[in-house]
Amino acid sequence: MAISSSTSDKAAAPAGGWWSEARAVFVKDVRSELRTRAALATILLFAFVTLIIVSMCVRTTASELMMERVPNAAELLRQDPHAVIDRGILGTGELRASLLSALLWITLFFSAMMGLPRTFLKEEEMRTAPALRLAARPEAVFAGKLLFNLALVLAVALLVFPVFLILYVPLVADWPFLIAQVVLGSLAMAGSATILGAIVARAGGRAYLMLPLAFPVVLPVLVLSINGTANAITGKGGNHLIPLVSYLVAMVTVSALLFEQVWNDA
Amino acid sequence: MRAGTSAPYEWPMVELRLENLSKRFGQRNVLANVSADVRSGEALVVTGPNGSGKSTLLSVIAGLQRPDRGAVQVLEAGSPLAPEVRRHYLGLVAPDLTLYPELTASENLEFFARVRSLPWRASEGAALLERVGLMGRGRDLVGTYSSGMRVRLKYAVALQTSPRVLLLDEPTAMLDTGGVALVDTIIQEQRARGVVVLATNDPSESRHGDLFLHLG
Repeated sequence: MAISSSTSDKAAAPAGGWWSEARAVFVKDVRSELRTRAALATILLFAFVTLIIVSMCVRTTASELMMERVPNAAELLRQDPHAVIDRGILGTGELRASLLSALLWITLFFSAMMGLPRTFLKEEEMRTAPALRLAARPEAVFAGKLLFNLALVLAVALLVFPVFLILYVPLVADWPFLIAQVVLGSLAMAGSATILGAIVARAGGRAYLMLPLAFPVVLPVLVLSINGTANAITGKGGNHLIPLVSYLVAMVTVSALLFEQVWNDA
Repeated sequence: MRAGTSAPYEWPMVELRLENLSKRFGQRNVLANVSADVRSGEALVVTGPNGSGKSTLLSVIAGLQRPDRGAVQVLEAGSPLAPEVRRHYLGLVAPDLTLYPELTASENLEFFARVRSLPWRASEGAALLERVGLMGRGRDLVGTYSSGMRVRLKYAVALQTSPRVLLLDEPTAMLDTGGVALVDTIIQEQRARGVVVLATNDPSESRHGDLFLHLG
């Protein structure tokens, strides 16, 4: 077969745009992840182990916390859990909400930071990065990897959050706000982890650099998400969603601008 | 020395120009003022001892590494191509280049077609696999391939764009006699399409050269 005869205009006139190229990177990463489960296994293992260990070793449910102070705590909670908190019988409503939301976000943060850089680290470790660098334009690689990380972190949140609810039984006052908080906080973490993953992968694949690099960058997301989640649980109000959206947009914009330097710098 | 090979061109004239390329790794000068000018129909053979910078030179030409000094230009019909366009003109087969082992051969071809914005047809993919001697193995995971089969698949991926500049690093390493014959044919066909650059120390591969560059 003479390849040149059937595809003589390929080199000169490639069709399609960066969006279809980004989609190709995304589909390839999903396909690859479904076969190897490299990132998902790391993330879920860490998240579930943390949640289960803490739930087994620390008194975190409302009834457990109340048992020591109020003999009929279980009965009171069953009748009107919010009234229990409002009347201050528990005395730790806000404190508990803060502790639980901190636990949720610490779990999500550490598991995400262990798993999200894998999408770039794997390319460098398996030596597939040069072929990708040669074939794809940087903005398509960034967009594809970002989409993959967003999808991955949403999938993880979808699996981890119900386990968190079952194990810790938070008395949630504002469900829609809580769900929006978890979704946006997760997306914001994925948005920043993408460029950080690329930097770590280019730094000789030193995965241990991810946490020290990520901590100062993701700190605003953590603070906003912990406070927002606690507020959603207690029903205290206070909108942390707009700052999270702003952070996500700013982070993705800056990352997209910097990515080519990180990806091609050699 | 230019041997002056002539070939019937159906493609616009292409020219690969290397201008005083220099590259250092730490204190070591790997490339020092390397220059060459290769035109359609010609093959440049780069030779030199291990560590002399042959693979680095190909990597720099492909745009995977930046030279510390100098420039690489690909000209079509006398006009230099912008670096972002060059990826559609280049094909690289090298030991350091790895395809996705967790994907099948067909999935690899599909991915590299789509990521280059090439129209993808499964029949074209199958024809390419047949061309490189992997007929009937398209649904196998690349991770299960032998070293020689992986090299053949690299050729299929490199040829997808019908590259005007084909860069081959140790082109027949890991290949059996059938594979070596395939590479010979590919090099001959590449002359009709554009330029070929080979990095090798194997005399049987060097015989393809019209121009020679010795490094180290």
